[in-house]
Amino acid sequence: MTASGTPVQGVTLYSFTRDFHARNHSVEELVREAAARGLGPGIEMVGFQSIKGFPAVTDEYVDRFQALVAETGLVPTCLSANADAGLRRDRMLTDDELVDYMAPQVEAAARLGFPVVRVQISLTPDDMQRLLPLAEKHDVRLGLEVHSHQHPKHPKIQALLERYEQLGSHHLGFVPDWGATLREVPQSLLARYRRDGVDDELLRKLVEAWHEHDAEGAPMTEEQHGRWFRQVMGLAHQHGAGDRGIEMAVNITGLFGHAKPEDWLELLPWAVHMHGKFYEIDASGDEPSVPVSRIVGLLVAAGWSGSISSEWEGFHWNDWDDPFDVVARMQALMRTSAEEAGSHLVTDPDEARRVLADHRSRS
Amino acid sequence: MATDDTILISDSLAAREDGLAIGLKIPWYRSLWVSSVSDVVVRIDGAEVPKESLRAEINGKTFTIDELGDQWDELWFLQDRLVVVVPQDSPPSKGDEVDVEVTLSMRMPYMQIAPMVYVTNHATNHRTLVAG
Repeated sequence: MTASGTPVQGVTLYSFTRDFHARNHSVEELVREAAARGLGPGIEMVGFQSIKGFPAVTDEYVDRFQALVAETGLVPTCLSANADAGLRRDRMLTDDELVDYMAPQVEAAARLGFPVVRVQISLTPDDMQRLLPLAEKHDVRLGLEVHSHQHPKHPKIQALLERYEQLGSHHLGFVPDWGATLREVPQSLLARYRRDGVDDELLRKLVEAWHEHDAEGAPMTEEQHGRWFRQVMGLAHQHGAGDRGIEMAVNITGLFGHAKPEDWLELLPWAVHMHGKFYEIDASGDEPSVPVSRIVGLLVAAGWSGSISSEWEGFHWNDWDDPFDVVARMQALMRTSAEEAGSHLVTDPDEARRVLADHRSRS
Repeated sequence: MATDDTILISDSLAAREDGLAIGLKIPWYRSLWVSSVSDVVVRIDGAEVPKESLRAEINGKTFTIDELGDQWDELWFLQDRLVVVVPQDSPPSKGDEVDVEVTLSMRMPYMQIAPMVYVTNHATNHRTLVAG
């Protein structure tokens, strides 16, 4: 029998994008606030969001960041990187240039003490293979984010999985994002649309469309996703919401994925970190759109003990909830779910370091 | 008003001796290279300002709108503003209200949907702003 997993709690500063973007807080203030509210011990950030001048990182910045980590007792889990292959407007970066582009980002992660670098779906299996020596050199793990509308069974993800199995390196893996496995359209988005005067019939049809797509199953081709996208655009136009059609189609067909929580199991041996994507916590303390409890239960039963960053993305439309409060409530749900599954979520920094070192050595 | 559709905020407008300076928020959740800016259209009191006359200031440097697309090693940090300068012979004074509309188009260099075609965010904001 597999020993129960003990995933490690944490947060990504991406959850606080709204406040940071509005210049209400510095990164240092966000990190201190996250620590003071017990939203760690894991801490993740997006390099191109939090660090001015990224991917260049000065020695002074590294020293300051490490002092902040020591002061707060947090445990760096993941630095999110970006592969900007379209950096130049006249041409794509060549394969070699893309590796050169990623190099300082990977090096920055290592210098700042992040063991995992999140990369995105624009990278192919060949790209990942080309980046492997870089990951080995800096001893970090490259985790390709599995984000809606992709999902574990999508051909692009399966092709990566196949390559990982061929290469057999623990420096390559995935970062599952729970937004690929929703069970319902977030209520807070519908509330936002209602506030903005979108008519109830359109809202009903948007939700209906999402459920039709859900019955069809997570998209296996771009053609299928494109068909859904055009359908939602059409609904928006029919109901006089033309200007918001693209946004509605991006949300309904792009953000709220249709895979089943069980689908994550196939990727677990390669899951180097996770994005605990969520949108809202209701009055009963549950997440009506992302099946947080079900996913945590599966991870625990499968013996997975990696780090999970709570990633609140409701800020795109929800400007009424406090991001720190909503993350705290989501983490309470994760802790309860782990306990109900006969285990616990790691919240102690020392235990987190031990558990993550062990997770790294075994996967 | 969300992260990805807000470019004008209440303190965006400043009066200068030779025109107006409009400070834009980046309509995305991360910093992007200045080369991601594919177009800027400005209307003052409903009249479009000729693009050739506009200048954009960032990181202590000044560019024409067309030159922005070539700046692939200048980063527009998330908390910084791209300042679009509109030359005017008789600019408003501090405290005056001005009707400002800006459309900013940004290409996402990591979200390619076909060869050399990128997901592009067109953010349009129309506000009456007080010159600071």
